[in-house]
Amino acid sequence: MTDEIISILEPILVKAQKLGAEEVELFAQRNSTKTVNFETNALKSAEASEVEGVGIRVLINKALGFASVNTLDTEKILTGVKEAIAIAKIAPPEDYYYLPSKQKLPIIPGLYDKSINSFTMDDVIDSGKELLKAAIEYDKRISIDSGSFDAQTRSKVILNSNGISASEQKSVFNFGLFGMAIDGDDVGSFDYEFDSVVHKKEIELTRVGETFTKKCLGMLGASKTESFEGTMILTPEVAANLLSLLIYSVNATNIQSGSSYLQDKLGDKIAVDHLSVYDNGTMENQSGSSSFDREGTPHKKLTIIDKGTFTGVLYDSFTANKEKLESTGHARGSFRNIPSIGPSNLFIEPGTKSIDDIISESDNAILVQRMSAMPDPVAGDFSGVIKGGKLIKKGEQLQTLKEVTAVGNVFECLNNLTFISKEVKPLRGSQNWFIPYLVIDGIKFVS
Amino acid sequence: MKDLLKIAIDNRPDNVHVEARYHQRKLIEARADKGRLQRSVVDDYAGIGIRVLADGAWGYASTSKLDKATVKKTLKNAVAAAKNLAPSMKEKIELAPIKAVTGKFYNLGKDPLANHSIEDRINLVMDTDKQVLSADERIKGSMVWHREYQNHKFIINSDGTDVEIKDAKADIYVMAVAHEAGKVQNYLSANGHCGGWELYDFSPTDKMVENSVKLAIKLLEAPLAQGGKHTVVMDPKVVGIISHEAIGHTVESDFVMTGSVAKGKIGKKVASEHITMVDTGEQDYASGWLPVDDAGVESKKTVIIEKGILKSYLHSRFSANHFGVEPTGSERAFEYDNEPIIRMRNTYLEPGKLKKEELFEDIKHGYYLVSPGGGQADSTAEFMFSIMEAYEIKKGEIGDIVKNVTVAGNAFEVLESVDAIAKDWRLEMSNGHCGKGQRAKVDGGGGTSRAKALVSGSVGGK
Repeated sequence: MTDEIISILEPILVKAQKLGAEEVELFAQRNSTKTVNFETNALKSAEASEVEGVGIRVLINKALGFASVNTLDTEKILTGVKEAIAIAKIAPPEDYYYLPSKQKLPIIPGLYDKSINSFTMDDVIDSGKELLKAAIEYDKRISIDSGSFDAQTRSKVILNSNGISASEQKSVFNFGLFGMAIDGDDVGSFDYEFDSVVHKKEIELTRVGETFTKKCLGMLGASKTESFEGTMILTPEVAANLLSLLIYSVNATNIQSGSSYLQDKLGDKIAVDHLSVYDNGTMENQSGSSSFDREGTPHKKLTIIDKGTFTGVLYDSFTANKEKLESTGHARGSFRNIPSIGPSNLFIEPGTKSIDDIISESDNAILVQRMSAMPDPVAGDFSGVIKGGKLIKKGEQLQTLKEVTAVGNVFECLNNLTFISKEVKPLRGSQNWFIPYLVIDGIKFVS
Repeated sequence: MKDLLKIAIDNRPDNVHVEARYHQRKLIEARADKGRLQRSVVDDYAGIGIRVLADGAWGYASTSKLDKATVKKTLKNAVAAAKNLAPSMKEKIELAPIKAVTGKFYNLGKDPLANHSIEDRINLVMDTDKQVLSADERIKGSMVWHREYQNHKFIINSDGTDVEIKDAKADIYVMAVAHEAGKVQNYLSANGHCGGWELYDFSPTDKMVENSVKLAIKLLEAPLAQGGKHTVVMDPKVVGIISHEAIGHTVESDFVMTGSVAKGKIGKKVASEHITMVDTGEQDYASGWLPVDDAGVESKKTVIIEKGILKSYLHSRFSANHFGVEPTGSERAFEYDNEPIIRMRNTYLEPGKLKKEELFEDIKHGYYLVSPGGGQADSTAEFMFSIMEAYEIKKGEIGDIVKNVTVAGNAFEVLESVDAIAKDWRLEMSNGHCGKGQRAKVDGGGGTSRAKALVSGSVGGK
């Protein structure tokens, strides 16, 4: 499948240079997806989709042009090439705009499960039914607003005028649910649960369905409490929500534009000793893995925080060129856009205590299931409305709370992190994060 | 193109309902950040989506290959998907009848975007960015972003709808970042509309620069608001976002059927008698402009709340049939490969009779909320929005600007507390998107409104 795409793109690479492009990059994708969608506790529709296209990056005198077309038709791709060239001819140049060169790519086993070839629309529908059944049979108070199950074959190809030529095929099964629990007049806050796996044998419909229902039930019967200062225990989902600010801050684009809290802090101690964070796009059997990034640069393991010290910045090729460094292989994105920087498989090193022990040893704490927050990405300040928070006194989980807001600063939280659980939850979908429960002291809970 | 779509209608099996849609969406962006061109992109995305209803189940398939054989194959895939699904459907899907719509609907503005070059866009953002950076020595950061969608659609269905729609939707954002003595504040001015380059006549970039620079600098010295329940006066932009996010989503009938707080409330009082809330695709200058929806249904003005009483939900043909009402023409798909789902269009509160200044007169202490930032809403109608521009109201007068304000509450409770609406009606949120799995361009607004809401000011209290 990818050989066919390469044979279409190779002559275009040559033609683009004849048309005036000094450097050219062609990034093609072809995704074939079978989906079943849910709505209102039932199946809604079945869908077969084929999406293909090419993202075209050209450089002329170190000025960049980009265009994309959603076809592999040579004439239409050439129209896109001409549009990209027209942009590059008038765009202002940047010294550090040049494309990466060929490097040896790692071989990552387990990214394609052949059984997807025989996974039919009926299989997709049956899987969808099983997911719905798992959620509904766990407790009838669940109300599923929407959700889906899909089986997807992804192919990607990258070619550039510096000799990069690589391709990869991946199989991915995505599935998830969104909704809330309703008990008489008590409508709970919404919640969701999802997963994304490469292998058919790793599809856990019952776990995802039941976890979704349990989360939604946890939102029911909420009552108010007084304001207090105490401990915040974050579920992996909420921890990921707040840590997205850390990832924003270690992104070279944000550091270079002066909009990162961590811009002058590489090598500094920014968190407690027991916090280590790393990214590894070369993990076997993970939907977030790939042997190369959006620019054809190899993926490798990068330690972002090592025992509390800020050690790693995420770079793509342009931001790395600017600092005369090597790209860390963190260019991301689809064919429809200029590459941007982001993690692949992000890990927080687990701790030694179980979440049950952490809860039983806590007092004056809230276990936060979901948080509605809009943190300030630069300063790190947040004020988040806690949804489905469980009040904990002397190790006992008491009532579910409503209308409680947690106020704090994400970067201060990194220094007030008392415990990290030994359980790690994979949060896989558009991002692929592996996150434990986090415990933070000294949070103001405002009611 | 229409001939290709007709192949899907003409080749449909017996007793199968077909909707065939061609959609070309051309996205053009230019963005400058702090003196450099951050991006300049053309994304051309076109194809055909075919939705069929067979044996009570929906099937959907799409393709970007625009030839006869592929259209036939895509129809076959959609029918096969529906037939696979049909035996598992507990409630068979049936559609409310519609009147077929035919015609051409063009809304490209006075000065169509297609007449302007990429260079015009790059120059616009680079020049404007330069203006921001040179406006004041305290301005250390900037961002200027022009983004537009040029849409071309053909929508036909087996009930006889046969329309062509061309429109364009353009947004402009201007941000200034001010630094002084270790403090950093930014302000983002944004505008958008349905139409062409004349966006820059009614929203000139130099005015946006002036506004962003002035407010970013003012916010450096701004105090925090006092937290607590306060009387608030909300400008149309804030009224629009609360109407859309916190009320509008709860009356989308897919969400109602799931059990949103609006379920079972038709005919009941849900807001104060001052509130009449409308969702419509009529205003041709607004981003929610919609003459015909993507299922081929005429888009109709929908009164959601009339004088405080809940009157209607937003419907697809399926939900209209389920509730025994007429479809409202609310089904939309963002791109050709998206299935249509229920979306809002232009959502607003009808104006009142008062002059705007009369709303402030008897307020001893409160807050004037001018421009919203980001926010979130819940299935319970609880919402929280940050407010980028807010002022203290003291003894009926607008006082100093305050920073880091968030407003929160239950939207129905806030609407119940509305005791006055001004006659200064505007739609003001054409820029940006609404997200619901897929994106949609929408607008919203109203008359300036006075209510009670929870204001938080303690965030980032440094």
